[in-house]
Amino acid sequence: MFWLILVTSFSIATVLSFAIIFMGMISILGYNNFWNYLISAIVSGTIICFFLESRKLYQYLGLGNLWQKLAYSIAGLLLTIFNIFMALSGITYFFDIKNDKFDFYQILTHWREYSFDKIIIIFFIIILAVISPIVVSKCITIKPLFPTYKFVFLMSLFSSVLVYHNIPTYLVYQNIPTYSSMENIQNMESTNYQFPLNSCGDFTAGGANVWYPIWVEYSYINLQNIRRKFCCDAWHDPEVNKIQVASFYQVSKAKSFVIFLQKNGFHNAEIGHGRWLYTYPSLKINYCE
Amino acid sequence: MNIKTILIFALFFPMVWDVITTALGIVGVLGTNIIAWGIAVVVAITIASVNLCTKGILKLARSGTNDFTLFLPVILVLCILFDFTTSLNGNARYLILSNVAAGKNMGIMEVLQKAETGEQFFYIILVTIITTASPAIVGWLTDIDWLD
Repeated sequence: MFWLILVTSFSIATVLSFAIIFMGMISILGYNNFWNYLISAIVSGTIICFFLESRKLYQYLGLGNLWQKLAYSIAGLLLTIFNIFMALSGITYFFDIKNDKFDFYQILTHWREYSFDKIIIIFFIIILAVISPIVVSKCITIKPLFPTYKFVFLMSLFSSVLVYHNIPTYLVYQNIPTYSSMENIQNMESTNYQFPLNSCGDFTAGGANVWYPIWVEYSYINLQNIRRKFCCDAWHDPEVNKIQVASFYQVSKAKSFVIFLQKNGFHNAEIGHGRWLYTYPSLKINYCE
Repeated sequence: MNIKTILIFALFFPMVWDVITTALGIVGVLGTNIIAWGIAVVVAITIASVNLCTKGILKLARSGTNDFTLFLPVILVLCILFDFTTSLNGNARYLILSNVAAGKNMGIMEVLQKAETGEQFFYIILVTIITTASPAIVGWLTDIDWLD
């Protein structure tokens, strides 16, 4: 319920974000040309898509190597500044100036005449417009309410980033039979795991593989305990009403982890059906505290 | 019917009034055209939703399991402050000026100074406090597994 309310309200605010950036672009390009409207729509859509996908992009690019991280950070910073500038221009022009020629000095002149509460209200609208796609992005990463590609399908028309980043995950996907035999089972406790981990599953360099989910019966207490003690990214899958604790492509490690969980009080831990999944490189940094 | 149900029922209407006054406050500042109304309604709904989720946000902050720990409480505080400002603006414009569109260029202090009596001024402040707090209280009293 919590995530649904947050995602729904901030998704509506994301439309506001799009509208305000669009208004800003139009105020700069001019109101009297169809192409200006088209360009403004494409640019606004792409910016919104960047922020909607910011969480995944950060995981995919941000922690890869220094240059990718730097490029991502600079792009994010520049787009945020651009976003704020556009929103500020859009609101001021649309509501107070309304002439065809963009002049930043005119914006400043108007802002000097505004009352304090008006400045506060306009600034908050701009902040809301800037953060709303980021909040949506964070929420749907933490709590995948629905496949991302369905949610932002319309937006993806504007953005090559989305098409590249989302669609393959869901296209390269099929069920395969459950694992049949266990071999070379490692002892999870004998290895030097420093729980809690950000992610307990196998690390991957990316690509297609068969992944086995580790399930535990869902309850709020179980989810909190698993997140607190073992795996921070454990999540509740409403379709099967179970907690997905981790995913492994090495069956022996999956079995070992199930035994480990059972020894630690989660007696109903089990390995789920393997699935072909296309994945991106795993994060190796543990930001779980 | 227990006290919780009665309180939720009683505070439901101030909650709706909060959304309305937030929208009126924004429209009073931006103007009364269709775009201003669109922005006002969207912002008012978002603010009310965040306030409604107060319990869940604080619970999440205490659990400390992800990077929303700091981010969402900051948004919550901003939303409460903004909600109070816009609701005060909306209530004052509606109750003192009797017309939301009037006094577009007037600040909130100018509008409040036009209050006919001291009682009217305190009444507006009190109504604003109750309406601003109502979404958070309704959310707090509702028995929902907030982090599910």
